[in-house]
Amino acid sequence: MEDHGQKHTIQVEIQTPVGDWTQDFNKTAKVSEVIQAVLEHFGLAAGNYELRNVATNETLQPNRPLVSYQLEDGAALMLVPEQGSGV
Amino acid sequence: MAVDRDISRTALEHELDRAGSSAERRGWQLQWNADTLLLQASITAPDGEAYVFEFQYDDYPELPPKIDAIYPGSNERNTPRCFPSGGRGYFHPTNLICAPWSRNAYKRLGGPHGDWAIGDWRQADPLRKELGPILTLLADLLEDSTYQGRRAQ
Repeated sequence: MEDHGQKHTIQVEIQTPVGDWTQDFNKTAKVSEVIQAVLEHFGLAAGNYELRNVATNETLQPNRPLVSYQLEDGAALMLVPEQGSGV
Repeated sequence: MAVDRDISRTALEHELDRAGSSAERRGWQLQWNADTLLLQASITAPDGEAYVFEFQYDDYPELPPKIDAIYPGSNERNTPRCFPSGGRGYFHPTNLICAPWSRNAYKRLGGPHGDWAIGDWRQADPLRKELGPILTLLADLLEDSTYQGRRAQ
């Protein structure tokens, strides 16, 4: 969707341990909403996950919108499950 | 209890397919034998040490995989030098992988945990209920600050 030449969506490549997914998201989508969409796409269980910018290794904060990170179209993001610990 | 081997094979091959992009990106060497239901995964640590984990998938997915650590180029398994150091508790001092997704962890199968019900293994750690996330965790532990080479030389 575009308005006055401004694209309202951004295409990102999400890398996960169970596959990659290239998808358009609204720029205003929160990181937590993107994570939820990825979990639903791959049928992953709910839990603690992070989304990281592959280029910078920065962890994206769940409450911030994608647009606040000034990502380029095609940016690669990695879904990282919480590591936890053995017992 | 016995799971038809075709069911186990189909389940694992689906998981292998899903794990493929991570394996390629991170350089894991995966060798799958559909006849024996054995998967060998070689994961190289940043110091160049390669760690080999053998996954046995009989009775899968009713039971989690049996995961042995093998010293590269030998038949030696589950000795201290087969394991990485560190591991945030996943690499147990008795030389097994201690997690709900590791069959060796359960007491009824020889492991330390009599307090775990093996039938619940996928619910016990839902973030690691298939191959890709398990391999990702093992690889991440080799890049962790607690890793300092093999547990023994």
